[in-house]
Amino acid sequence: MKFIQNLLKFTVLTALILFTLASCSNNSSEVSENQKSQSCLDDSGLSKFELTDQSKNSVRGESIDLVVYDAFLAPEGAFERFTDETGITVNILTTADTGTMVSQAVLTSGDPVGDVMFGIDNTFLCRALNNDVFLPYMPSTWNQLLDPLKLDRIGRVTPVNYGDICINYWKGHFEVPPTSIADLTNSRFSSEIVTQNPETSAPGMGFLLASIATFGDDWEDFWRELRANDIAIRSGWSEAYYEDFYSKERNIVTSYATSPVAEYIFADPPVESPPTAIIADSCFRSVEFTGILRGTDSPAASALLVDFLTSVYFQELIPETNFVLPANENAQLPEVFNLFLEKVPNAVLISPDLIDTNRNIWTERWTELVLR
Amino acid sequence: MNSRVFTRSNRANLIAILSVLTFYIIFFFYPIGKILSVGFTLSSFEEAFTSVSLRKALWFTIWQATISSALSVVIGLCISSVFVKSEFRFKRFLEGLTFIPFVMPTVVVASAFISVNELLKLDGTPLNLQGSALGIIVAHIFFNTSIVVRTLTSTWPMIDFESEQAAQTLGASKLRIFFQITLPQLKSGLMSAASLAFLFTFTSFGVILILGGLGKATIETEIWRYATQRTEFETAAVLGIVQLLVVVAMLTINNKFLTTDNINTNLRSKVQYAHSVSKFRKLVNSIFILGFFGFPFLVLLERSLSTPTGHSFAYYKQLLWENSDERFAIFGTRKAILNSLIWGSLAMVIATVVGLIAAYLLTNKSKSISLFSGIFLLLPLGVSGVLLGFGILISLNTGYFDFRSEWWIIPVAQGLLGVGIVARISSNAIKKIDPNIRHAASTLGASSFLIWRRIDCPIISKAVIAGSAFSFALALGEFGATSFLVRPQRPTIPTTIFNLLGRPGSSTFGQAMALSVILAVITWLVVSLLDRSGSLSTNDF
Repeated sequence: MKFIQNLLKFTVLTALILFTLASCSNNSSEVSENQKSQSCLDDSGLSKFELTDQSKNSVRGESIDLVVYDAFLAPEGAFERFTDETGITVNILTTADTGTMVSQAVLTSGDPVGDVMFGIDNTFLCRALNNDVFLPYMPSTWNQLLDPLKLDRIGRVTPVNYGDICINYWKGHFEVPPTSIADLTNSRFSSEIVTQNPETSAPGMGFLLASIATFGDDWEDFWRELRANDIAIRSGWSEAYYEDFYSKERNIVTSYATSPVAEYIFADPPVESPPTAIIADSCFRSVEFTGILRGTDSPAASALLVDFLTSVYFQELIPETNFVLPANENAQLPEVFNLFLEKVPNAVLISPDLIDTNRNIWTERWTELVLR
Repeated sequence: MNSRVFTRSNRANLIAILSVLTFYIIFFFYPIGKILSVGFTLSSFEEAFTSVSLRKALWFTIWQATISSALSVVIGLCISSVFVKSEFRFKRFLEGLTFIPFVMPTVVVASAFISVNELLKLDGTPLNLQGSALGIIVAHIFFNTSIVVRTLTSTWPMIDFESEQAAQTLGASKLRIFFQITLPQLKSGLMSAASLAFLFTFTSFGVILILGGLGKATIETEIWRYATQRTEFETAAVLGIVQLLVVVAMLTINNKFLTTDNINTNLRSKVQYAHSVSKFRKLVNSIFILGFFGFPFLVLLERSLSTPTGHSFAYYKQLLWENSDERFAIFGTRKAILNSLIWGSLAMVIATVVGLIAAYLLTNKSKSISLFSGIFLLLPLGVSGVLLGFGILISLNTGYFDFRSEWWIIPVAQGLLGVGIVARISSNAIKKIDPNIRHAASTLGASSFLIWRRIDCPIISKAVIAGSAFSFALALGEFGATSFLVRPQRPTIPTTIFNLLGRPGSSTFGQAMALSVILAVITWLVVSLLDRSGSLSTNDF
């Protein structure tokens, strides 16, 4: 029995030593934000990756990992076509929500879990750029991409799609529906609005940012009035949309400009036209990017994948699977989108810098105003 | 003869300790140590402790977990006593029903609670379940009573019922028999159940986020917020260390109560209890189970059947047969069901094998071994899933240990969470084995394996299977760290429900509800099958 006890002491000791060793090999320097004073969009001096014809031919047979957020669904057969064209196999690695995906990338900056990331958005962009997560690369499709979406001019990330976060409402419910974001504080819409917590939900964040862009310094008053108008707050999009909005307990919800189109496509039984509509003046433009993860073993294959993700072929497939709009201006929208997507000409686009600097201040202020 | 038995058990112990420890060091201690070390500076501790909101979160976490787990234990005790002491029609069905909450995706359960809130018009009353501590506690009881019932129904039939009868003959009252004879014998089972319930409610995440909103923050939701939404790992790690300290303290206290059980092997399948359960109690028990556990499920069932044109199986058809329909092909539902079954089974096998070895460590005669393993085996359930997931990403990536994005890391992580459960539940049964039987067998020349196969195996099988069923359910429900790992995009039932719920449209919502019902039914089926095999092998003996 003595022997066992000694063994036990030994193992406790080993565990402790391992724990301490792990503590010592702390590489928190990689995690620290090293360029806080400057803009995250400034050139951080990483050398660009150039794709040569020679490297294009040498990648046949390679296998690379595409890191995506959990809600991303791959269009049927799209990546098989990429494999046919280039000889490169693509494995899709799923993470969790965008915030988690970006945090993981920051934590593993320089030693990434995959080769290419899909779907980091403009609200999280600076965190990744400040931590040198991406390897700069200008894809061959760069000139076909919508210019206002190219927030990072040096190509650390490439815009891959965009979508507008807008207020949605049931068309049949209101004789005179709301037409602007300022309308929402009108007592006619008392107890009618449900939105999401900006700390836990991307559309919730989008609506907060849209209100800040619209009302400037008066945004806090807007939210005080919304609270007085009995706005409901949920933690995520699904709860707000499927609990409050679907039960018609509340008839105005924060969602996407494409939601009415999805309502049409996924309606059962089929409907003639979407039962919901958007307020086009209150939208926040969310831009998603793709980029090569710095530290990849296969930069050339990764570069080819970025080319493919921004190509007309792939861009035309993503609206119907992920309900976002193509960043490539040559891509044609599917027929249903042309029929039912309401155009949002003046969507709010806030600099990622500004969002990054103020995000915590704004959300803390919002929490005090609306939840406490 | 004695010395031979001891050397053999020494060697077996050594192998057991080494194998379990290696598993834990690679997949738990090293990753969690590495991620916690990110925040290991004194100034970050000071910052965290002076922050009012974090102190508030710590206090709320502790009191809600204590109340939730205490109530779960009391309710679980009442339910189990009826199950153990009486036979009645639909008993198996009701037993299965208490298990279903455990595997339901939190989003789905929370949404059922929200609709109960709306149905009963509780909003604005003191009984409001949304955004209140009460809602969180009720949901926690809903989730955790099942683990109490499971643990108790697997150990209760083994207690010494003859003393109960003797006391009854001598005129002791029902209550006195319960408190002085029955309860002390159930102590180790109750403590196991209580510690598991505490760990689950202490690190609960989805329930707090959805039902509580961020107005009700806990350590776990604050870790999530800092680590994933704010990319501030230092604060998250400090909170993780605080969380770990509370868990270790709780498990140490809990362990103090574990070692004083009576040894008794009651192997008869028909047990006569001192007092049979009255018809009235059986009725109340059934109504409570149907109402509390069945009602949210009925809400779910109703939603899965209600289409804009009346009730039908349309969504089930879309899920299972019209999957090739262009609109829904992207969700890959049938593949998801298959994947879930495969991954869940793998995780269950890992949890059962490692957990069973670990159970023998828990019952080791050496106090220090059993105390130490009692704490470290359950730690994975007590640390933040976010931190464990992130820890694996930054530690299992070099040299021989480069497998952070391998597909099998998911069932391993899921299995890791199940090990503690299997070990805790099985050890209660192992403790009840009379060592004299083993000694007698050994003296008669039986090999260790034969002793295990013929003596241990039949006695503990029901408990082991109860634990395995839990680990399967945990894996099926995709719990804890597995959501924060990087995994190959293979649809599983929970991820598909998530994707369906993430897209607007009447049919995607209906399909999500239908798939949740399918998840519940699969779980119920698997658990019943496992139970049946468990009770068969007990009767064999």
